[in-house]
Amino acid sequence: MQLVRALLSRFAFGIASLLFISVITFVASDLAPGDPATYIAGEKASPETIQRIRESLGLDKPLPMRYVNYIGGIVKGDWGESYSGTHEKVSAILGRTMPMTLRLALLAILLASVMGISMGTIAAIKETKLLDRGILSASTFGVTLPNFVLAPILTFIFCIKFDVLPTTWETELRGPLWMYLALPVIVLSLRPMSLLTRLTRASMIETLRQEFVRTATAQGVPPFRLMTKYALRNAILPVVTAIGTTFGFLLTGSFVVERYFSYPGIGSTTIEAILSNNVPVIQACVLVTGFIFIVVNLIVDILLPILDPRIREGQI
Amino acid sequence: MKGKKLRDPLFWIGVTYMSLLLLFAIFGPMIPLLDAKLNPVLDNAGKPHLPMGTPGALLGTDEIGRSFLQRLAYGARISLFIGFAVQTINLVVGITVGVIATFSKKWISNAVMRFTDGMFAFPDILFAILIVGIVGASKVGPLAVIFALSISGWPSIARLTKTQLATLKEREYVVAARASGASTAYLVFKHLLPQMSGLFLAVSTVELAGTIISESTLGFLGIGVQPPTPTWGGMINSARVNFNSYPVELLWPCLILSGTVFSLNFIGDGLRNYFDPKSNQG
Repeated sequence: MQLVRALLSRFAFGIASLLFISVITFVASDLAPGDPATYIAGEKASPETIQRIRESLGLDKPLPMRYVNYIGGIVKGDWGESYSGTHEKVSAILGRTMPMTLRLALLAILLASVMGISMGTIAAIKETKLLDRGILSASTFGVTLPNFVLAPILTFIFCIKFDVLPTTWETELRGPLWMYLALPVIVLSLRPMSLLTRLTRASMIETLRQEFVRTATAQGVPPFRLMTKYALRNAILPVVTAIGTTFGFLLTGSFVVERYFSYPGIGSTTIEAILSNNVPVIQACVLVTGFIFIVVNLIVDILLPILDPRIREGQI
Repeated sequence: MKGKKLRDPLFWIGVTYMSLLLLFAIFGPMIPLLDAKLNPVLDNAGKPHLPMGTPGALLGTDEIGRSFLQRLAYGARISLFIGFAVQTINLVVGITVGVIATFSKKWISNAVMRFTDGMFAFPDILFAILIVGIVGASKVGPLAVIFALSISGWPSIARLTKTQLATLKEREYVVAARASGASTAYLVFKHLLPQMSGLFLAVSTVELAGTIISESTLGFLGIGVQPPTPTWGGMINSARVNFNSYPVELLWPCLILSGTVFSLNFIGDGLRNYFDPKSNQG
């Protein structure tokens, strides 16, 4: 019962966050210079025409009512139109770019989780040994190195020196897909990978010191089974939570990575929209990025009780 | 804490680097010899892509003939100025919010902390991107960047203040001071905040590195402080375009930025271990 209440309050916080970010993007866009009606009517339109368009768009209504209309539109899938030449529907732009970014981000988080958890576990088992020191310094390096510094280094090695991978995305791919995804995914995953390595290491060290691990060792549980089934199973919970929060780094990191590799996702679309002052697109992109982040963290929090019987039983 | 010394060599490497960087930022732009553009007497003034070691432009020149060394110095000014300004705002706003949340009525405290949690929950650079998008990229200057980066920076300080105050205010000397009639303001300024200053210094140093990365990220994306003002991020972005022919040009801004970020982290870690040795477990 306690669990249901906790999940419900977590869910409520998620909904509140979604509303919060929608209010912020809406108010911010409202403050932006430039009037949608003037954009639609064109610079030379008469004041009467602009006024008519304003009324038909509901722009003459007070702010709270316009917000309700805006949310209503979003729920129905009407995100407005891009200001740029083609007047493409924003929903179509999102439909085109969002799957690209999600593919990049999911591959990166997968790589980061697998590598981070295994390197963290190895480091914890070899605590204070050379291998541990090496992994720890590498991860310190990885947490702090900006990804627009890593990207040129890797480009130099793989694209110029050895010439095995393409430097940027192309509209007509001239090779297998993985070749184009490899560098963006690696660059994007470095920071979360390092964070997860450090966290897994710390959590594993703490777990390995607990009594049940010693008991299991004494009972003769084989080492591999001991590490995976006994220790890691316990140590992994804070890591799962962190996977959710590092997803945020991924989404913001994808602005840089997509821009660097000319990858046609939501990140590069946002930057282009900002550079061309395309307010409806900026608004939608920020909103969607925030939405994804909130939803991922909500899913993680719902997953935790499934992974940990102690939370399920309401013991912690 | 008395008699304890900061022995961590990484800490001192960081301090040395940052001191040199500060001097470079202050005096670098003043050394007239370095600027190829301001010295038309020099043969090479204004020539693009000069190699390293050219007199007047020790690190060479960029695609329109500006000295790299001098642009790095200007970039250091911008990065450090924005970084320090953002951290100052974060500390002032964060501590104020944390103190209000600790000492005010329960419903105010709850409302303030929910709002803080909400702000904390969002990826840091998203707000900055939204603000720059609204201001319009072409009008972005240092002040807009400072505003954009401090909006998402203060919640972590506010949460830290709140958790620290929660334990500190139960300490005996605080309870004793309160019992002898000290006001809340007196407690906060005389007893509690000085107690936390070391931790704030350590945390702010690490966050300063984060702010400098964010500022460079905006510059790299072309939505930070606008050219012709040099920023490290902007320099990385323009060197990227000429990367195939002049890879070495990308090296300088990357090196100076990475050095700064690593140094600040070394200093922050050193300070944290010094002021709060317990936090070093694990």
